[in-house]
Amino acid sequence: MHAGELTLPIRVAAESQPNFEELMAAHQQRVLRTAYRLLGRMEDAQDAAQEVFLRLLRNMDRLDGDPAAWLYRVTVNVCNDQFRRKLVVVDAPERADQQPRADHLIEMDERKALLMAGLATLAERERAAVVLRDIEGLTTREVAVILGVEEVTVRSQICGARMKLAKYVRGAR
Amino acid sequence: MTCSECQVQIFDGQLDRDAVVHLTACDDCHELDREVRLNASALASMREDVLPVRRARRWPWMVAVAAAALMLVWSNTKPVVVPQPVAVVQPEPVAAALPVPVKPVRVRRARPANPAPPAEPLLVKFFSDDPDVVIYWLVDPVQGEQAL
Repeated sequence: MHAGELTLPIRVAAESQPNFEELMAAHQQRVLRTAYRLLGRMEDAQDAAQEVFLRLLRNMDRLDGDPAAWLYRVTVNVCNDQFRRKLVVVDAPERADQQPRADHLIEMDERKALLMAGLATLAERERAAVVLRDIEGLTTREVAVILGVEEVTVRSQICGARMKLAKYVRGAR
Repeated sequence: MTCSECQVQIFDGQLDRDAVVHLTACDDCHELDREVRLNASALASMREDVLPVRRARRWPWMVAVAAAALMLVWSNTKPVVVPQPVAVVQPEPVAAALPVPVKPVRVRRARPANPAPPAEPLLVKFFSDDPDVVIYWLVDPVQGEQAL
């Protein structure tokens, strides 16, 4: 998703209030993807996504504004709660096929696996900021709105997260 | 520009002209910049990755199969016990349990019917023209008449 897409649901919500099924169909992949990057395991991500949509169902009548931003915010909160409750184990990336692959693709897969493991070592705020900014592709302003902090804070968190990730990847290789 | 100043811009993702010049001269910063760009590229590509399918956990299935096998063996070795018939007890009505004052019912006893008094024979006396001849006729009401 590109940064500009985040504003689209605002217009939709203003014109006609979407029901729960429409919102879930439109956002479930995004919620699941974000939860997976934040938690590192598909099982945990699915549990988190289920909790997110349960909260959406309970708050449908009070939902005001951008559903995408609301869902991102709740996803981050649910994943942070889940992250605190148990030790998160990052799954190794799965290879879809066993065909010979180019070295740069193998290197990319290895780097992704290291980054996923490195994400688990970050602080909550840093992890949420880098997932929303670098993986989901949101702008710094959108991340700031979702996390409820200033833009400068988000920039600082992202810089810190990138530095720690670079250090983690370098140390692991 | 110092290395630390350049590194701030590297991690921020926005390099000014001085930082670019520094990168051409500093191998460490140049390598760090390359590393951070590769990380950014890998992170961005995660957005398009197909999410892994949830893997089935093997342990619950193994435990379930083992438990089923044990149940099967146990059921084959266990002596057959004929179940005892279960007596069905009808629940008493709630009203019967409550202490309700019951007015004694006066039962009218049926009086035994009085035995009919033995029927006395009916005596019929006939006079004839002869004063010495009198005829008595005893009539038994049960068995009939009997002449004397």
